[in-house]
Amino acid sequence: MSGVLLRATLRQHWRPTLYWSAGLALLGLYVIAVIPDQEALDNYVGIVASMPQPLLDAIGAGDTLLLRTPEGFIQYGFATWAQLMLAVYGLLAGLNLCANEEEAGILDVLLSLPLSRRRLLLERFVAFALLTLLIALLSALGLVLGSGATEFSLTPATLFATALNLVPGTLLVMAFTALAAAALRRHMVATGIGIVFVIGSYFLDFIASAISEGPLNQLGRLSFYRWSSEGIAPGSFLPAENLILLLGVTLVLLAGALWFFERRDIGL
Amino acid sequence: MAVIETRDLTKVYGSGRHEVRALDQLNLQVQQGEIFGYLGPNGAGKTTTIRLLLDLIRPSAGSATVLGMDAQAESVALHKRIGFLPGELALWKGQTGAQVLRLVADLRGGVDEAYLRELTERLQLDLNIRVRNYSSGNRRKLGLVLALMNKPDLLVLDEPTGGLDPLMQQIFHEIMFETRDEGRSVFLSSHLLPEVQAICDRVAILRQGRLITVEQVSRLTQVGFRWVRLQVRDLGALPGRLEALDGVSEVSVEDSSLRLRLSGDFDPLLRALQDSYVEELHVHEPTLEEIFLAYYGNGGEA
Repeated sequence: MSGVLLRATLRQHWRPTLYWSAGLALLGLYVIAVIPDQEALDNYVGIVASMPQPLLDAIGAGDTLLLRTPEGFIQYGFATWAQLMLAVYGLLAGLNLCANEEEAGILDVLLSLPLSRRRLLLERFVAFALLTLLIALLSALGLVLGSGATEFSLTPATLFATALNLVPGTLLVMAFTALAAAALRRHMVATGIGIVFVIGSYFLDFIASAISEGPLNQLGRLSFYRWSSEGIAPGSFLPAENLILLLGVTLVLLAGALWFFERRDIGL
Repeated sequence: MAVIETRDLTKVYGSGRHEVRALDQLNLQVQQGEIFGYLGPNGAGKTTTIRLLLDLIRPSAGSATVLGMDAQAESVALHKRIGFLPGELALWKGQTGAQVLRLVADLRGGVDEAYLRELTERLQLDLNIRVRNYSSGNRRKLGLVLALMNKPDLLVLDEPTGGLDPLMQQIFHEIMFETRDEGRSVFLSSHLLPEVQAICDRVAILRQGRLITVEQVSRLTQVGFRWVRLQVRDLGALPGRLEALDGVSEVSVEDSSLRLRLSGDFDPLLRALQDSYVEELHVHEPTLEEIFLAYYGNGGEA
């Protein structure tokens, strides 16, 4: 990889990346701002806990004891929603790897240059992975800024871990969308399948989480949201098992995208 | 040496009842140092051929060698030596011309900056404008600079002058002649027959995915037929007599002027005119367009 396309992608997409970062940082700021002290946190959790238990389980607030800790509350209030938003970013980034330029006809120019299809896809993927990382880091800054206004002693490392845990799931969505675009060619179809994947995974996890045990609960393991949140001690990094699984599936999906992209016709 | 050589190159889209044979067993050779015109109406397979040569699409059968390299297996190495201008040029709309040039130059590597400046000056291209604000002519100029910037051994141009004003077309022609004089080659698809006639050495005519003919442009305009216009003092029964001659067709009368299409030798016509008082006689070579239409009108037989 020469990195030319990687740098060009970073240059072309830094502005939207800042917008996404600002949005998520504001979400982080807001989530912490509503719990300035333990009393406010207890009151808030008291309201949330009045909901039926299956619904609490579904929205990731089933463990109210955990929710009464600032780290647990941030995991519920920030990470759950931020993961959903970043999944949308992953979908858009996945389309930006090749599908958007193919739809516009720009890929004809790019691939007439001394640039292999593999290099195009990989450099773009690495660029968007870096941009995703940047969004996570900048949104963590929102959490850090917000924590200064609370009485809780939240370490920056804890808050950065919460934000960085969002990255592997986002990369998986990006690779899935890239695979759909590479295999199916039609931009609209790939977009539709990406949307179904993001929303479908969310609801699969939502419904499965509402059922505490049994095979239906196990179905939730098919959702990447489950692996992005299950087993995490609040404020700590993803367990190695989850990380390996999410990144492993991402690599498999990316390899699939490369396989299709290298073998098919471009455009038309 | 052939810079482009295709062997039974075939591209089929769809299958069964929806099968479309976009290109059918194309066997073509383009020689080094020539400007080669590739003619055909929409849907004839011109762009399909170009996309196959650039490995943007994959052949259903057959193969292509470009600059001695396999167009598919060695595409990256090959593209270092090719300049390409697509028929419908799409670029990043939010980028300026300069940013687009920089990206492409970086991806190509080893671009001669002085030559790049010379090209933009000759084509009078303002690089500080965003692509979305370029007129179609200026976008075409930018595409030409992108294709020419690395002084490629082979230029592949799909309808290169669409949107260019006559002055710029003239400059484009000059650049093409310079390219040929330097021993480099041009493969140019066009439907602008006067342009092909003006700059191409040889031309291939394509119809419904099949190659109809490959010919020197100079010979193509000489073979086949000519138009003859006669000014005769008393036409009388002359039109009927001429129409009966071998090689004479499409006889039409306008006032005292007679126009006919002549294939073959002049002698039968001149003998038939010996009893008439001929005031004027004009012979016109057919334009490439007329030859082109003749090919299509007669199912490929001129």
